[in-house]
Amino acid sequence: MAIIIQISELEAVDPEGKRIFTDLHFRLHRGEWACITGPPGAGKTLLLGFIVGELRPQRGQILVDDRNVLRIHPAKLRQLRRRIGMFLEAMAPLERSTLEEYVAFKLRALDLSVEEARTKALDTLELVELIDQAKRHPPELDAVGERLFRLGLALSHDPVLLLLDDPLRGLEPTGVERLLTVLEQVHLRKRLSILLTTREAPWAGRFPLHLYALEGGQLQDLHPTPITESDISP
Amino acid sequence: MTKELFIFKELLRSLPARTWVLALVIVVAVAIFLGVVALVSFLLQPVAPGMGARLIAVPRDDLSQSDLSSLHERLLSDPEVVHVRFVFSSTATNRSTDEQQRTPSRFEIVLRSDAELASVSERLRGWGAFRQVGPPGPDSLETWRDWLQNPETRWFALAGFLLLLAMTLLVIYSGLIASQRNFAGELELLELSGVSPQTLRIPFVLLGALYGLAGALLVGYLLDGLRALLEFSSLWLPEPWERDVIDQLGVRGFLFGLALSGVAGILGWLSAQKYPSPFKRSRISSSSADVTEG
Repeated sequence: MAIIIQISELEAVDPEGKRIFTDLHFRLHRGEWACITGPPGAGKTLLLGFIVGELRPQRGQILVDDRNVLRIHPAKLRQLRRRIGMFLEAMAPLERSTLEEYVAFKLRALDLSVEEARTKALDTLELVELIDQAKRHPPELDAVGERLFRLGLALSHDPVLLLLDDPLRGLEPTGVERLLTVLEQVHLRKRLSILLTTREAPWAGRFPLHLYALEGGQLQDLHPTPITESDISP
Repeated sequence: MTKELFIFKELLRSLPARTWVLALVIVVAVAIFLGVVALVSFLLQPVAPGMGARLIAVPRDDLSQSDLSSLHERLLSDPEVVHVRFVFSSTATNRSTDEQQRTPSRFEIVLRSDAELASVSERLRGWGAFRQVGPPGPDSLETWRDWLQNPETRWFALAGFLLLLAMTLLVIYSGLIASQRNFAGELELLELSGVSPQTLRIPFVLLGALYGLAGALLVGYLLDGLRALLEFSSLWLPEPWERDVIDQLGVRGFLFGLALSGVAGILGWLSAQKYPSPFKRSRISSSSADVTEG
């Protein structure tokens, strides 16, 4: 199976001199859903920053969609980012317009016509199960609705790779379940690659994903536990 | 460019009422600055060599049309006079043609040399046909001109000018930063989607230029309004040659405003460069969360 992210011999040190990653290796195949768990400060967000070329490590090689993001020209990097959907933990608020208007705004800025942007915005909101709230403003949504809206924004331009930085943080278990169910549907329908980071993933066994743990600057490959009847039943 | 204009339109839509009030303050501040700059440049401008000096002569009210014609001929025959133009005041334009023809306003006289200004003025006053004779502009402007051209005081003027310039640029910059903060969510969204930094900066360049242009238009309209007010309120400021000064100030203010638009556009570009990367902000937030959770 083709690889969309390949990280080799990654080493990174924070400004205080503390080693974050030591000879880290990682692969994500096309169409695969992976989840990286780790305690706060383990370097989950940092790793995503390296993958999108926003931050630079001290050593290593990172290939994304067959491009070396550490040596790529800035213009090519922006082109690459158009193939990536990103959900970051700390994002500036979006409050003034409706959900539909925000998604359409992003698509219009990415060169779609008014009509195309509107149609695609509604399709995206339907995909993330927010179509009935398309005319509402983001502050009117509950916590999981707000995350789904952000997920919709990340998905709206049809990326091939979806990077999600701790999207489950602070959600109630029902909210976690709802967001993961939507994500599973997105994964099935769009066949895109997903890399999700979170602190803990006790639910991992119930979803078709590859689980990793980030500890001591290295990734440990944890195979998902087999799905059992008790996992499926509520 | 269509994409940039679309983002600019959305940027303007995103501004809340508070920021619109700030924008109004910015435009007024720019207009005041432009008015001051126009006045200073007017006062500092020397008379162009070879162009001669100008005199304004207001004839007495009781002169007939034939008296005015003969006065015109007499002025033209003066060896120091190059050109004479008879001007009707615009307050008389609503009157009938006969009345307008009989209403004296002023002669604009161009002299061969500014060295002869005082002697010609004295000579014309001696004719007894004029109410007022003097150079264009009120006496107060001459006082300011002397003050500005005095080597001992011009440093104060320069310091004041630089202070005013700095304050104007600071106000514009604050407005740009405020609008950028209002639009932070949208900027972040587009940045994450691979929209180029240049595309994200151009709306702020346009916004900065708009502040300068709006200030230029405002100073033009304000000075035009002031001129109209003076023309209809001759009791307040009876010197009819104020009009020429105000016309010149309006044009200069507008031209300086165009130049300031360019500078404000550059400020827009620079202000957008200071926008923090959403990824770095995300890391900071994550780190502070670590500290909280111990």
